[in-house]
Amino acid sequence: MFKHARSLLMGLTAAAALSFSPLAAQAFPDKPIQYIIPFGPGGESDIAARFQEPLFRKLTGQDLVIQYRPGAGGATAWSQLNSMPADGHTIVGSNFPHIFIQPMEKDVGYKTEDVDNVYIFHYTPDALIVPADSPYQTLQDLIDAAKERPGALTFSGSGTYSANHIAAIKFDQLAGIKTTYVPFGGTGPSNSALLGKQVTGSWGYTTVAGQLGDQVRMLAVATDERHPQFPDVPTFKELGFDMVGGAYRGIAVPKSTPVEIKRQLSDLIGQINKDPEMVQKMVEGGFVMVDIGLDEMPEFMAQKAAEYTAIATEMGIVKQ
Amino acid sequence: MEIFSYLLAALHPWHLGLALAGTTAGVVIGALPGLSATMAVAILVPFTFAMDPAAGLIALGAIYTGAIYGGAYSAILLNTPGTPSAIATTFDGYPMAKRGDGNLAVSLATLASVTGGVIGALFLLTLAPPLASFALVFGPVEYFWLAMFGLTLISALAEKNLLKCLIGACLGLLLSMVGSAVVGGDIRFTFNTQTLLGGIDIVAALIGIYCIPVLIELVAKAGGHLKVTTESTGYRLREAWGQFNRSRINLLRSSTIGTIVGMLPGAGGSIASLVAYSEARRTAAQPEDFGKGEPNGILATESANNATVGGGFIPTLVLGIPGTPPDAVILGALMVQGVRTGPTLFTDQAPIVYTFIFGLLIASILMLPIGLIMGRYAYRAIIRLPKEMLAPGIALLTVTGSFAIHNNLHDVQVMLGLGVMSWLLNRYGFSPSPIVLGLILGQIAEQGFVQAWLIGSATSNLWGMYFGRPLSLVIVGLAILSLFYPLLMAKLRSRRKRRLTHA
Amino acid sequence: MPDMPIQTRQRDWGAIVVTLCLMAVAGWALWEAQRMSELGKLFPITFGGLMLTLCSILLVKQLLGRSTPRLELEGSMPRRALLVVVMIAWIALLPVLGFVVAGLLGFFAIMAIAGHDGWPLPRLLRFVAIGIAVVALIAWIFQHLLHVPLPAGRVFF
Repeated sequence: MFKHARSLLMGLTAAAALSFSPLAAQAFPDKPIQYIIPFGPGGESDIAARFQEPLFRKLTGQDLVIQYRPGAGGATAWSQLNSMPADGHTIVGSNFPHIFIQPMEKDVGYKTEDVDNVYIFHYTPDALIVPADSPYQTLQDLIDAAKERPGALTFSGSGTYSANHIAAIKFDQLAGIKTTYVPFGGTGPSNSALLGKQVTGSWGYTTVAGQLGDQVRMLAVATDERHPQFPDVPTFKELGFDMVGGAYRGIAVPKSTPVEIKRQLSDLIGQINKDPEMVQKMVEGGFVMVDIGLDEMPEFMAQKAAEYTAIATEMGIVKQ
Repeated sequence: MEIFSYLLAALHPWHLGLALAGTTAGVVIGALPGLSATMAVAILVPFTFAMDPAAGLIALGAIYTGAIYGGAYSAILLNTPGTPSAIATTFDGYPMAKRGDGNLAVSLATLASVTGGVIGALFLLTLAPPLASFALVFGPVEYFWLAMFGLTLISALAEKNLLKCLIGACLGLLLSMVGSAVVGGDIRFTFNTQTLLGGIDIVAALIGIYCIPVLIELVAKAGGHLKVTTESTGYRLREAWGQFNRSRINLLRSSTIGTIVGMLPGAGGSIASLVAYSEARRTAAQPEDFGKGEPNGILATESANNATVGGGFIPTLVLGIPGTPPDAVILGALMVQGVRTGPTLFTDQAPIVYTFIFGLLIASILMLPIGLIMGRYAYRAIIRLPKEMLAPGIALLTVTGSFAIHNNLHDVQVMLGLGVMSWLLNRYGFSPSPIVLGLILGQIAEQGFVQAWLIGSATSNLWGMYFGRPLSLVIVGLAILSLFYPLLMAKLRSRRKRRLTHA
Repeated sequence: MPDMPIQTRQRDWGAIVVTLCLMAVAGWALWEAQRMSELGKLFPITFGGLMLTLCSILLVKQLLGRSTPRLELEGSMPRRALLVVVMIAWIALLPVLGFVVAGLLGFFAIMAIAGHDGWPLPRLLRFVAIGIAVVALIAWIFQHLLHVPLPAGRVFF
């Protein structure tokens, strides 16, 4: 009720302001935008949306109405994406590697090509994390131990065939070691297994270290350059392992959305993604901002498709 | 004393007003089946961005506490747990309401919830850091045994029909495996459709299994939904208070159980209240009264589930690991506000944290007047509404509520399917609760077991994994005790009786 | 449902059919489990097997006429059946007619099924008015306060 009175007021003032600006000619968005998160509340996708919401309103005068449609690791929402209204007023959160791995693994009701991404705004880099009092000080310590006792080191992570699982397998390959990946029902249970030393370490993201602070130590992170929030933690690259990536997040629209609308959405999100205050808060939390707009998307998708297909084939999960 | 300045800050009229509004809204949302505490918190989050962090946290904590409590209303009056935490409240709450003691049951639930909420918050205030390290001792095996402990409750619920109860539990366990498995990623029992990939939602199942049979029986017969006696008016607070005083140990034990289970990420309020119920029954003088409208059953479950609120915040605030799903939403909201979460929160942001804990305490206490008044209206509405309004109203709520869980029609279909199945099975002696227990505990048991298996074989210590950990053995011991205690007591009693007749 | 069971020593064929159905579910679970990975089939096999065994014991007891009898139900069976039919139709029509229209139809249908006292005109009018208000209120609360995107329907909202 409140929200409506407020948004009406804001809409009016914004409309008045905008009528003199070049944006007004485009008349998009002309009503609240439904932002569908394919997961439940409280996750990284939700947090990102919460950051974007006020900025979106400030920029367009329209509300960004966040809705949750969780189910089957996001597949429920993505399989419904193309039957949603294609006027740009319905957008859906998009997550890598989910949208690549899920359709490879089983019939989930959509194909990777069905998810039409218009912007990718950040990623949470993979990180190898151990408890603060773990005997393993460096990545090399851990690799040596794994070589000594193949399979005996255990790593918690969230879910099977997830970003964490993929990171674990990829690293095992690159380092030529064998470890045991133990999937948990979410980041929370995975982290508590880590802190409780039920496992040797954990495959998580830099955001985990952001949340758990000095109770844990990251041995390496999968970024190009060191993360500004964790300047003492080496990258896998520096240590000689070609591992850059993690879980990417962005937004997608139904395929039949007009190109002009896609472009406007892409530019809008791009603008939001450069808000200095938001960027600072997100980087402090362990996120890495990226800006992949409509133009860069085909190339980026192709690159990731090749990467994930290779890994999925290696994992033996590609459905025949 | 610094701590008193935080208490004063929490008592600021603005904060008090927020706690009052939050609790009230939470009670309403929690009472509606399908709307969970997580949803209540998520809806409120955008509004808190306009507030300072402490005020925002108080509002969020209040709505969360209220929602957990509100679940008791529909559990008692409609036999439908408004939230999963209130499942065990149906066991004794609904029988009480049926015999005309619904108002007494609501008053008892209110007193118990306030007690649980206050004890949980006090644990959070005083013992958070040591309790958080204790929570970490629980590994996958302990989760597995805890779920097994919950399943032993079946033997208590069974009475004569143990065989049918066990079959029901197996059915529930199989239902819990539908969808893609967390460990191993297998796609199981989905009939190759995408709709079942996400598994059977527990809340949809609860609404169906408990509420649809009530609805079916409601339209079949003329008379009222609940029996109305001369005592069916008023709060019956004096009576409730007397019972409350006699059950102080039960309340204390249940609240402690609630706090501890609430600290375990992924366990949650449903297990907390089941374990508390099981323990209350085991230690009761007349365990056979449980399930037939025993006030101590309601006191145990409602104090335990409200204690999980305070308990869940312990790992959230001390470790940065959300104890329950609503805690995860609150952690996210804090991050958007620029409050650095995690272990430093307790030390660096002491004013925010302590103001919040006091706010939670105040919200719990405010639940007493709010709960009594709203409970009275809810009860009156249910006994006074003619069937021609009550039945379609409940039907509308089951459809809307199960849709709102994931904004998906598929959950509504699952709800109705399981509901009709539950009615049919109940007719042939398979009561619904073992099925629900299997469904809820199945995932936790399976994940814990398989994770322990993976870790145990990696470290080549499989036996030690399952049977060599002290905490595991304690839980196993308790499980065995609660499994055989009823039998043992019955044996002892009959022997004593025989001796008496011989003498 | 709390009706007292009546003791009989006869074979209850309805109960036997239910048991057979449960056995079929357990058997199907075991069959499906063959295609699962080592870790994934552990629980399905354990509990599917347990369920099949327990059901067999129950079946033997039932064939011997020694099982607890089913609940004898009071009240109208046609009303029960109608309720289930209305609920099924309601849910099936939700995506076609939209939340409000399907909700109103479902609401009134169940109101009629639940009515044991007859419908004098003033009472009918009053109840219909209340019904419309309730459905509209619930739709508004969920759609606008709780941000639940209720099914819009292809024909009406």
